[in-house]
Amino acid sequence: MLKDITLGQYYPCDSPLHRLDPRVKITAALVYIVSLFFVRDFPGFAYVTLCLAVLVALSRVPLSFLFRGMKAIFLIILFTFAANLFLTDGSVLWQLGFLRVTSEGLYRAAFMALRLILLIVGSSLLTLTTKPMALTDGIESLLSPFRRIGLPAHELAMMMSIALRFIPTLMEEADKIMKAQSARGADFESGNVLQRAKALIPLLVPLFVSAFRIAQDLAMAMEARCYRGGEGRTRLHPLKMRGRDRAAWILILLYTLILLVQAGWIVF
Amino acid sequence: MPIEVKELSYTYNEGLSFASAALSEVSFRVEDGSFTAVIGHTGSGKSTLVQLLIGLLKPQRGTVLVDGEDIFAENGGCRRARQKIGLVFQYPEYQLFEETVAADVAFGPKNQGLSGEELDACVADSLALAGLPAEEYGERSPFELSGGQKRRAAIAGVLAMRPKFLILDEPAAGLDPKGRRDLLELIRGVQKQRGSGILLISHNMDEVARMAEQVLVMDGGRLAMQGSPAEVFAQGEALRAMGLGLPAAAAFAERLRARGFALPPVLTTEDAAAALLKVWAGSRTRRD
Amino acid sequence: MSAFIEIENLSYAYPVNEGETPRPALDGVSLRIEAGSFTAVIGRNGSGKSTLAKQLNALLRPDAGRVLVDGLDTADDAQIWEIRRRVGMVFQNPDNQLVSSIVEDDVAFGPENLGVPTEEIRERVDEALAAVSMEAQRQKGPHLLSGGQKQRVAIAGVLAMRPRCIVLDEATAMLDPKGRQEVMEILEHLHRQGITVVLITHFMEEAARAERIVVMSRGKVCMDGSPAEVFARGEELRALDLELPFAIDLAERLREGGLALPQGILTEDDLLEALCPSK
Repeated sequence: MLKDITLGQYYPCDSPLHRLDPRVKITAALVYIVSLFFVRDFPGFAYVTLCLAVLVALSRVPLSFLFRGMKAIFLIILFTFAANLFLTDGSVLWQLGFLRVTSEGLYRAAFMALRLILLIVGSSLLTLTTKPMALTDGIESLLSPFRRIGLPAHELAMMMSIALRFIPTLMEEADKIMKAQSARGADFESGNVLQRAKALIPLLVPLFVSAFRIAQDLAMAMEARCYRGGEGRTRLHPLKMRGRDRAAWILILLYTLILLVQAGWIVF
Repeated sequence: MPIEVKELSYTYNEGLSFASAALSEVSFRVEDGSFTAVIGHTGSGKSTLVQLLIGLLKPQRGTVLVDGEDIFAENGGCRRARQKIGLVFQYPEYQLFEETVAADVAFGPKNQGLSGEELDACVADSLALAGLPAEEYGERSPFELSGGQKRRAAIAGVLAMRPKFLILDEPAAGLDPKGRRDLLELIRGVQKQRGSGILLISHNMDEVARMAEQVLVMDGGRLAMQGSPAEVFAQGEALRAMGLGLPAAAAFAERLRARGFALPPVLTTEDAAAALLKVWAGSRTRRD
Repeated sequence: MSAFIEIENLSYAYPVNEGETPRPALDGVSLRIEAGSFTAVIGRNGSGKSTLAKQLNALLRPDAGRVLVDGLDTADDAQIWEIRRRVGMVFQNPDNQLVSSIVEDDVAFGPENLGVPTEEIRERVDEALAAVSMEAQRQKGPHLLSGGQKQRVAIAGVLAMRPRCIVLDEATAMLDPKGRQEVMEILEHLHRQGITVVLITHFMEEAARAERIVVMSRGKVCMDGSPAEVFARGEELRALDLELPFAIDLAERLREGGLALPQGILTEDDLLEALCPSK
């Protein structure tokens, strides 16, 4: 049941965005996220939204998938909106008891909420159009220059891809353990925060033990298949920059420049 | 304390695009103290069925009656069902968590409200029944036991709740032949000593033939066949069509019959030997 | 001529905590395994058979004695990677040996570690998946596969390294009857192709399909011979808490009951022939 939902929400299809090198997409996502904090006004957000809309169209991912991520964060967006709405000082528009809405508050709330929405939709485009394996390969490649200063890029990437691989397995295991303990009268639902935390011990301890057991077995199996770290490893799907990736780099640069000029960070 | 199931149906992820029907209109009844086996190909709904019996899942349609009570009708019905029915999952040793074996076995009865001397006695009794005497194993960490011992400790944990009915999902999975024999002895012991009813899910037709009084055959979420082992295993064709096998002796007897041997139905190797010797003796006296 | 695997007086004990006495898992084991043979190693849990398996690809190293694999000494650190390339291993838990979220990527794991060029990895992966009949599932995630399918992927992952020998450490113990059958068929196929197969198992029916059975108990080899030879010693096997495969068990009972059956009956087909010879 839970097996059918792949975490990272990869949406399989063949689109220009799907075909891009993961390194380009990861960098684009990072640039995009940072750029959101350089936007100063709503026209700026309009520009970003336009660019995002183009990308969404290019990705051929249905809008319903895109907004799935929103459901999970909906509460946070609501909270951000409300906090900014009621807690900002300025010229009062409306008041009910101690709840005060100012025009500055309204502006800020809309601004913050919009930024948050754009952030989530934009970054989910990354995971929707990139296979988990490609993501970890991309991260490994981008981090490999830092190996010189001691960063274990390959090991980090390997850890990430193994973690992704075992998420469904561990979720199933957790489900089984919860059911087994419930069958013995465990109650995961009722009680205050402290009681519920204590009730998690019969779930967490076996889950940890399972995770360790999996790790031991897996390490042995990897060694048996001659794994000895990243040195000398080749790939079935090596990453290669193509024409469209080079074009993408240029577009990323252009996007950033236009944004910075619009927001007034760069003046001619 | 009978368990009765009527028109039970369950669908995973109902309403979503990847919904899958796991059970369709299953109905049966198992009596107090009886030994029932459930067989079926992987994915036929056996595990889903037993989870419904103690309310770990809620059915879309149908009822589960434990001791006459519909467990989904009122609040607390499922909890009461879990007091009366113990469920041992596959590879139950993966659920051990406490610091000592005794503490882990005590988890269930503690949740039932037992404490003090009563609790200790209950734990000791269950450990003894599971072949792990409390004096020797009680204070040890469950994680330093061998695989087979861990499994017994986990089963003791379920036995400690004194269920009137014990459901076991492939309890001998992964064990070697002796481990398997010992475990089945344990189950028989529980049935005898406590008078508990047993529901056993198994892939091993030989042990089903040997131990069960009634066999339920699941196929694609439906109850395809029901009857005594002799009745069920007489239908070799139908079972094979469902991807199931027969006890080795029964399958072999079928092959012999195909070559002209007149054999009565056999379930175990002993039966087969006895039947064949009789036939051979009969043919010898005819010749003499 | 030297055998593919030569085990000379091998002893090994698992490391223990302070103050505990180590129990030998293997005690003076000597064995020769010929290239291209199909050997089954049976014994109770704790008999040392799994420990022996891990000595064959240098996952464990001898405390005493030595293990030579294709002429290479497992105690030699410099040789262990070449040994592991030549002797592949499939483990008991189907899930815990699959590294990747996609079947074909997992099969590629071994060749990637060996530094095989990309084009050739593709070839090897295709070959290996075909050998285990899992080409159709190449893009699937392992959590969508049955136990038997996962073990087939694990076997493919080993085959992609082009080993000379494959060791299966109770690889069918966690599978349902269908899964076990799938794996056994592949093993027999590989054996016919000349790959040395070492099968650690507690299923007597599987051992009966091998050319040779080694019976272990308490870290020592107590029986070694063809299935016919080993299963003829029913009493001894029972004393070791092992069982006889169905056909052999039935044949013995019939002989005890006075029925004269020829020796050497191993499979149901044999017994069937003996009881009612086809005209």
